[in-house]
Amino acid sequence: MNLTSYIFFFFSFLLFSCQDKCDYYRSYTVHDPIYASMESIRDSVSFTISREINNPGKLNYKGGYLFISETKKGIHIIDNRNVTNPINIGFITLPGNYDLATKGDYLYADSYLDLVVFDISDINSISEVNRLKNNFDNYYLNQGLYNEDEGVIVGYKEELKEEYIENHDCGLAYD
Amino acid sequence: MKKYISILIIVLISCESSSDLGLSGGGGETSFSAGSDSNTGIGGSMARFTIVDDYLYTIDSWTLKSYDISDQLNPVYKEDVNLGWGIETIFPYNGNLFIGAQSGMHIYNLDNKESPEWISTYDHMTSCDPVVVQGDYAFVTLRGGTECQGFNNQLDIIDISDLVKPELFKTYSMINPHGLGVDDNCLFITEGEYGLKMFDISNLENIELIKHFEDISSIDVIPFMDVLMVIGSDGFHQYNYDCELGEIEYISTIPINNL
Repeated sequence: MNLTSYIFFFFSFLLFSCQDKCDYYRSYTVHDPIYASMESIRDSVSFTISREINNPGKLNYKGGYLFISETKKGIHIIDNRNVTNPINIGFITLPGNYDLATKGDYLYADSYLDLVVFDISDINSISEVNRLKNNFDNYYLNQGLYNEDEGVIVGYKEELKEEYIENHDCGLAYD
Repeated sequence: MKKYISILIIVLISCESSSDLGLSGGGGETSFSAGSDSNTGIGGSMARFTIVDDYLYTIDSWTLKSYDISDQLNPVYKEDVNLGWGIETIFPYNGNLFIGAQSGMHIYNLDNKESPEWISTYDHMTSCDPVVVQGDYAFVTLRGGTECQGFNNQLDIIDISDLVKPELFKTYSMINPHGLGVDDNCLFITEGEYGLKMFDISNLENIELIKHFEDISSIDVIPFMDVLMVIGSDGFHQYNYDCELGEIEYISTIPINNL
């Protein structure tokens, strides 16, 4: 650094110290997590008639039927035995679902912390038949998406907050 | 040849045998790859759950879990295997698991089904990267962007004839590749909002773009017995394809309206 720079630095400090103080409002958005207990999530599993597909995720195809995960919501069942006319025939409500696999008469899927087993032998009447609870809790704990008191984070609500800032350096007012 | 393959498939189905031939991802000679017997469903390339014989494998960001499902109704948790960071996809093929991670592709063998054992890692630039395998080659798409880090958008073909030493065979540039599927001489690459591509890969030194459907969205595919099932943000689309003639033809769509 040469002499000119030092002088410049010195003067800029003077400038800062001479500045006025400001009061101002600062507004910002917070994303407050929405929690749900695993008990309520476990109770909400159901099989219903088809509904519109949104936010599709993972796929699994077995014996003419296609299972499409709707991220975090559940699993759609498509009758694809006639590929020219695939039919959306049912939906499993399964909160926190991302992944799935099938074998024989069974569908294996995640629901937040749990691994859930469904009997798919009757495609028109799919039912939950087993569940390994808290199987994926390590992942949700590590990601800060779960704690024992409040349950799992199922979404976020946006909130606009305003804060009154007193006697602040004007130059730094808009941080 | 196709007929012969179909017959082979029918035989497999009718026997419901637990052969070591993987059944998934693709539908050609050696390309059946995501399950392990005909009774097992076929996943897409983005899958993080997969079934090989009597074992279910699940992955999260760091961990592979194994479950014995010989009693299918009652999965029994067996083991946690630490995989490192940024784990994204799992693809079983020929008694091995190919695991797509943000840092590269890991190969694990299933000699001990309860506890898959690391064989090797093919390192690449940080990105999102599903993997499918056929014969001596793994096909990996690398996608850059904010959620994936990294800047590359490409297809890497990796020579895995020596599983201990996977080596880059060739790289082809892509637009925004997501999931992919391989069947015989057909390679399907989903390009997100940029459509769907079908390549002829009979010459891996010079793969040839046969068709690019630009006006659909696609994020993953399952090619199975000449039908390509495609999921995209705008719908579930299906095509008939013929790898010998290098043809692909639209069949149907179930539209999807994203919220």
